[in-house]
Amino acid sequence: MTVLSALKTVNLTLDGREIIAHEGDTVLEAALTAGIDIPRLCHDPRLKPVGACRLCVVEIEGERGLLTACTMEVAEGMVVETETDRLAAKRKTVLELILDDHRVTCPTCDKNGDCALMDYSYRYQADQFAFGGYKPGPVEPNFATGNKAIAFDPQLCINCGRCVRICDEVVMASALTFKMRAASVEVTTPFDMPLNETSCVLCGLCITTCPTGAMYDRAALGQGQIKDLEKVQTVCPYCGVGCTIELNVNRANNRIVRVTSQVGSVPNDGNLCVKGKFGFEYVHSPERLTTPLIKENGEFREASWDEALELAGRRLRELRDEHGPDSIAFLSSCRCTNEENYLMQKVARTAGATNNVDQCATTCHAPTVAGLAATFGSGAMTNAIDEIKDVDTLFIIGSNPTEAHPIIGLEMKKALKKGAKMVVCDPRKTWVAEHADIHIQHKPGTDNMLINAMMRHILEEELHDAEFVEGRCENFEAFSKNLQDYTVAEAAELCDVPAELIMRAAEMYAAGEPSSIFYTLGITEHTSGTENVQNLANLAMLCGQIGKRSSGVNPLRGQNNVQGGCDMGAMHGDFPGYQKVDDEVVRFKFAEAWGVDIPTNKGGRVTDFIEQAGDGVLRGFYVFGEDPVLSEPNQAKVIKSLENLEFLVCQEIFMSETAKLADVILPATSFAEKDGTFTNTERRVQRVRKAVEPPGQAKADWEIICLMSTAMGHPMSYDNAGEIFDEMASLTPSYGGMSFERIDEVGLQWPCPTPDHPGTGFLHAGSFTRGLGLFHEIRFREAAELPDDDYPYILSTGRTLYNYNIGNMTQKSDAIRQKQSKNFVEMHASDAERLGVANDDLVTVTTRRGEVTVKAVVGDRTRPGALWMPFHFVDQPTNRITNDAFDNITRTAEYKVCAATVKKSAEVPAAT
Amino acid sequence: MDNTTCIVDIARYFIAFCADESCGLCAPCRLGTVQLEEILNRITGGKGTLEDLDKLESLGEVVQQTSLCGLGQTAPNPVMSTLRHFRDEYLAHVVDKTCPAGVCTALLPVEVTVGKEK
Ligand code: SF4
Ligand code: SF4
Ligand code: SF4
Ligand code: SF4
Ligand code: FES
Repeated sequence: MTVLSALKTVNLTLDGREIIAHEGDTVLEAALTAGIDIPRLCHDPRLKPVGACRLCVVEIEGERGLLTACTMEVAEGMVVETETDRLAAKRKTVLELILDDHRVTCPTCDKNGDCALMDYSYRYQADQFAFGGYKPGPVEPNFATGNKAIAFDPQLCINCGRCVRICDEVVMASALTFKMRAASVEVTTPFDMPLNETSCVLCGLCITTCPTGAMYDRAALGQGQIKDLEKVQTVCPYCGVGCTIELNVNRANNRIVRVTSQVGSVPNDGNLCVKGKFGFEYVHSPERLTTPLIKENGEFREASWDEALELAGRRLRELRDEHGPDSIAFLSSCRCTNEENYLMQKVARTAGATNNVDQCATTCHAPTVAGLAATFGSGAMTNAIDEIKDVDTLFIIGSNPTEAHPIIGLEMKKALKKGAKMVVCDPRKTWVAEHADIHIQHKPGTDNMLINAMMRHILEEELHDAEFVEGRCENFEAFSKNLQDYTVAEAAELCDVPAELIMRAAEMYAAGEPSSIFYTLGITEHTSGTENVQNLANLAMLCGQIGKRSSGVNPLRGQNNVQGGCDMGAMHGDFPGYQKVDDEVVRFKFAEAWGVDIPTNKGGRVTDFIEQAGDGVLRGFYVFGEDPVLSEPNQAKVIKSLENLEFLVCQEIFMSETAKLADVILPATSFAEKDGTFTNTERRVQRVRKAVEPPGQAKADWEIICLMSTAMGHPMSYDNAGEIFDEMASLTPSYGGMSFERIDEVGLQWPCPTPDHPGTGFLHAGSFTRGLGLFHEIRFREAAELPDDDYPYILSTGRTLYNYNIGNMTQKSDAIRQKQSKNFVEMHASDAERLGVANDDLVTVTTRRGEVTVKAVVGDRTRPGALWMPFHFVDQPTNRITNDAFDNITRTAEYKVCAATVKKSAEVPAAT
Repeated sequence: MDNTTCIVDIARYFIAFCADESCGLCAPCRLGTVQLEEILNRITGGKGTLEDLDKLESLGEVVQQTSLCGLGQTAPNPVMSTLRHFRDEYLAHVVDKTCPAGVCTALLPVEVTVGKEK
């Protein structure tokens, strides 16, 4: 806010009203802020104004001609009329010209109800026949013909250029362009290529910015005009960015027709990626589970809720009573709401009387939570998403934001457009790597060598922030002594990158005003994951690049609610808000609140649960919205372990690979069918709202968890999600000031301890959560499994833009399947050539744990000797071959490094 | 220009040129020039009405005043100035259905060629 009010203001008169505007605002912006609705068709606040539609013309005192409000900047003393008879007449004629070139088919047009052209035509009573009326020509195929996401009807296009500009300026994909000129101009792709063969990333922004029905969601066609749909504001169920979306619901048939997002929404400003835009079909998939199922003689049969709950509750309780607190475990779900995660850990600790509760963070960002908590005192992204655009040096390591966190990727693109510098450390040539000032393409698994060398160089050159180190940190002596064992020359050798690059990168980071670190699973999914995180924290403290706006250490969290799942204490050692289970006072508080004795067993992580199941220690397992068979490494071993359980209950929306092994399956709900909250990666707690009814007998997950608790002998019930939230907030200081009312529109960022607290954009201003920042002495350790003669390649896994984790949600979307539906392996052209492998050939990738046969994508994205695979596909699943070696502290698996070999397969590729 | 030059046809020629040269970015120029050309085509084709003259004037003004760049802002100038200074010629085309300069073929007197039919 201080930034805004620091801007100079300008006084002007609009339609006789005195208005104060910011210097640099356009007349249109000033008018809109003042509630004056100047008509506009080519304007989108996200884009540079071009003045194409000419509808926003206004009269300005002292100017002879008419001027467009969208391009004209305000000036002191300016007197503007926005709505005179003269203007109305001109606008009417311009609209009539447009209508004459537009196939007016409002009765069958999807856009009907939110069409700017229709609204303005009505406002100015423009006559579609003033110039004779549109004469339709033959319908020709175009670049979007056959595309399952996007359709384009040139007969409805008014050539406002918004789609072309947004694709260029915001997405930076440049997939659209205009061809020809004068009256024949038409939107198309370069060389009229089919859209999916261009650089298009299927973000759908061209649709959402289109003021007419010309660009539209293919699948929505005929499913309900906008005027007949209800928009329900909620949060995207995919990644941790937490984009605000609107589900456009057709109440008549209880279906989501399309997804939209409003300009100005937080944190995405109306922008979405392909998953948020086109990935919702799974909600209505015929494969949804609709009734409880009980396995009998190896086959599932339908059961009533009562029967299924009675069996599941009784068996878990029996196992607990007979074999103690370590014999049962609860796996909570970061796909689900905070309320549900809160209840899951509560059930584990009350009805289950065990601390054996975990969620998927162990699979991804547990090293973040542990590493940053040990260093700073709280384990979360230190800065807000809207601060990214003001970063001066972006330091991105082990993260592929334009694919895995696309809206954060867009914010980084904004920073780049403002002149930011960018250092990217990644073994792979990602979009950010290709656009970086410095790309360090180091060997997978050598991060700590690299970071240590950088810090050594910074210290040697005295580029560090001595004052910050002195005043705000501790253990610096031991830390700097440790660095004496690492040199840039050694790192250059071991990481296989030029020493010069390491030094320049270190200098660029140290010098940024400010710099900010961004990382993802390329840092955490290692046997040294927690140490990697701690070392990045070291780097930030050393340079004083933390504790201020646009500067800090920013883990981009994976799942939509993995921040919330951790915040809610679905972890063996933590209650909600990271209050420690081993703290007597905290235990007493929860015992009081819940009316039970809090269990004192240590509890474990999901990776422990699986091992213990294999060893026969864990006997009963309640898995909620997770599919460890596909998501955990070394699949064969996971299946064998889970088969060894005495009782497995799964709460799921689909028959997942894990659910297939269950004794009881409880049909659950998707994000669109229940109320609650998610917490995104920037600690923003946001409202999730019910939009449609669940299928069949499926129930809201929080209701099912209550029923399970009751069936286990510990009655539990709530009237609604808000009641659960309030209980949680009353026990969780960092959420203490929040309520459904307060987070209604844009949410709040924790910590927010009191009802009048505005929430916290960036952490650690002035001092760290733990007081002084703690330097750690990090030793470089090699990955658990290194390449050798038998397995000479390093295999890493990761996510693609188009799919999400195990793919069971994204792969239900026709639009996404059309773009990407099969597993593949990226390999370097030099390796491919030696092996006689061509692009698209089938190859078999083998590790000590198994093999998969997939298509080869040959190029230069990976290093020579490195392989990269996504893990989204049930068929030929990548986690069949990944290594079950774990981080020494958080038991997160080393998905980013294992030894593999690859050879051309004898199989013939199936037609796609 | 002499009396063998048709003012209306000249105006039509100019606007057709502009309609073709328009970059197509802004709506009034891209679409307005085409409509002006259409109306002039009608007039030189003998199908013009008095109402068309009003339309030329009002549409020409919109294109002049609302177009983005100089091309659109000046494209209607020949039409507008000839309308003002040579209104008689326009009226001849529209009311009398004649082209005083004998240029607009659709308005030439029909030649009666008796006995030549095959
Ligand atoms: S785009 Fe708007 S004006 Fe055009 S047919 Fe559709 S609803 Fe009607
Ligand atoms: S979907 Fe996105 S990337 Fe593709 S053409 Fe539209 S705006 Fe461009
Ligand atoms: S498709 Fe829509 S956004 Fe693109 S130019 Fe046409 S009307 Fe404008
Ligand atoms: S960036 Fe993440 S939250 Fe936003 S639309 Fe994409 S998947 Fe959803
Ligand atoms: S909104 Fe100003 S010209 Fe289109």
